Amino acid sequence: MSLKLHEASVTLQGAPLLRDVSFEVQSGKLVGLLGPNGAGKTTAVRALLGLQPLNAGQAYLDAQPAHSLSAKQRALIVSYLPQARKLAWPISVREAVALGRFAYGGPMGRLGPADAAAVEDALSRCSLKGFEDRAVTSLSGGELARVHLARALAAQAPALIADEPTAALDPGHSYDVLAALQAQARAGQAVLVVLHDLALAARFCDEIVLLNQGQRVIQAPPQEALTPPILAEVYGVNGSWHRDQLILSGRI
Amino acid sequence: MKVQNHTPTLILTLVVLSVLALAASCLMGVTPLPLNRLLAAFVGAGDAQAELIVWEIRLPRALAAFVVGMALAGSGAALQGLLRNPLAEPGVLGVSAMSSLFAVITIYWGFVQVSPWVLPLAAIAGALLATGLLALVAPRVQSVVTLVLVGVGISSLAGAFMSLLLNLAPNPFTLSDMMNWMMGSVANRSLEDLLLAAPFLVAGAIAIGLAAPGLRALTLGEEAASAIGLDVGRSRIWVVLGTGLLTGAAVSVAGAVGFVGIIAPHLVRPLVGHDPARTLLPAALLGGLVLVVADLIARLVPTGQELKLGVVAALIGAPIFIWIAVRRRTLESDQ
Repeated sequence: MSLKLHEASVTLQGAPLLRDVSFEVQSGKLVGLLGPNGAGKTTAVRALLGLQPLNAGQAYLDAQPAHSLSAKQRALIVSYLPQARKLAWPISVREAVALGRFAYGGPMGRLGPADAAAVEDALSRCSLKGFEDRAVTSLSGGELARVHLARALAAQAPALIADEPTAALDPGHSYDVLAALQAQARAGQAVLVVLHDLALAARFCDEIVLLNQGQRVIQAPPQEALTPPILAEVYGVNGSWHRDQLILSGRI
Repeated sequence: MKVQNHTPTLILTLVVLSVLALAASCLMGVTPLPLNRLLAAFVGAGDAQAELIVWEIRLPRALAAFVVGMALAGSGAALQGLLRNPLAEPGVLGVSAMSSLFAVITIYWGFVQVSPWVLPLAAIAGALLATGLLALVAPRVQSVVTLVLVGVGISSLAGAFMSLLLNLAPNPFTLSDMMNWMMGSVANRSLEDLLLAAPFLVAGAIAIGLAAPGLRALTLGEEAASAIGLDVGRSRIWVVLGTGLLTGAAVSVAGAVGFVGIIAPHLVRPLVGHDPARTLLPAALLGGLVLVVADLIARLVPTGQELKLGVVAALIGAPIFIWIAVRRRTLESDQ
């Protein structure tokens, strides 16, 4: 089982967003997708999922061409958390998490006992017990992030992609989210996570895919990917490793 | 904040209240008839005059109000789910106006004489044109405010064309016929009128029913709804088709009746846990109930000329619309 983007190029209105980008996410690995603002991270994720048409190259989800999959087939392979967090209606936490099982629902959206069990499991793994009947609009940012994570876990798909799940979260909640994603990878899921926080990525990810200006710079374990010269070139910041910790020390 | 869900109780209550309101509509009216004659007529054992009044005048009219209310409120609830905006409604978005414009055009040029199907079909075509246009625009505009403004634009455009037709109306009969459709009324409707609209109402209800689970998924926004396995494009088509059919059929029966599509879903939502799929049926029932009561008011208020249903509905609904809009402070920062 793997997610694979192969020599993918995306051009939108004459502007190249991705050029010849290849990377792979395998089962059991937590892969961080990193890059400065506008590097093409979200475009790469959407291209991988088949949501963004490619001008060249291929995207494979579990060896199947991504664009050939229906939304439902795709959801059964990979559970995807886009950046948008806002829910339109104040539905309950339980129902929001249950939406993660949408692809398993019958024609009228009915869910069975297996779905209910998956929802309960996800609720408890994201420490949402006791929150089940709360309205999602009444939650704090950290609680809402846990609801979305629980929704993704409830899907129990073989792969998981999260686009900036730690955006607007404090360090404690960011650690919780990454720890949960790491646990998913350890349990055999293929996990791709878009991150901005380099230290967080260095601490939790098994591999880093670094993008810059629409091109892949490197795919490697954190210590090899986020070297001081690469950090200087891509981000324009000073960084150094102290044992297994990445420390950033200001702009160059 | 705890989320409440009382859907079954709510549906049951609304069904009971609707039946009571329909019965009241048959028993009350401008022609004073003693209760025993009416009840006899009701069960088919009364005199000819009482039977005529109950079966040919009051019941069809009350049923028309109920069906129109159901169709408009159901459409409102579905559009709100699709567009993730509690202010979406066939009236506000110009769907009813476009539909009545098309209906009025068939009256103006006398197409209605060709076949009884012409008017309902034209009304549905007008409604589908407006819903289709909105569905095309919706993904392109980021803000719901813009979308509502587009609807207001469609509504004004249809209104302007309607005024033009009124302006040029060849004779007073055409004029009064056209006014009926613009103001919205269920006076003098027969069961035949309802039967003509019935197939479209049923088809529209089925289309909305098919879209229901998708509306629930769309709570997350379009990208995330697609991520959990929803074919967003297909959902959009079902809702556009369903609301087009329902609104068009409702307009073909009663003309443009506004705001019921906003009030009913808004009142129902807190009682069904704000789930857009569970909102549909109770909202439709409440919409039917509201219009039956509004029509009863229109009939019983002692004015020289009988009030039009659309006028009563707007007098009740427009202030509530403003109230909802003001309370929704986050409107601007939506999505």
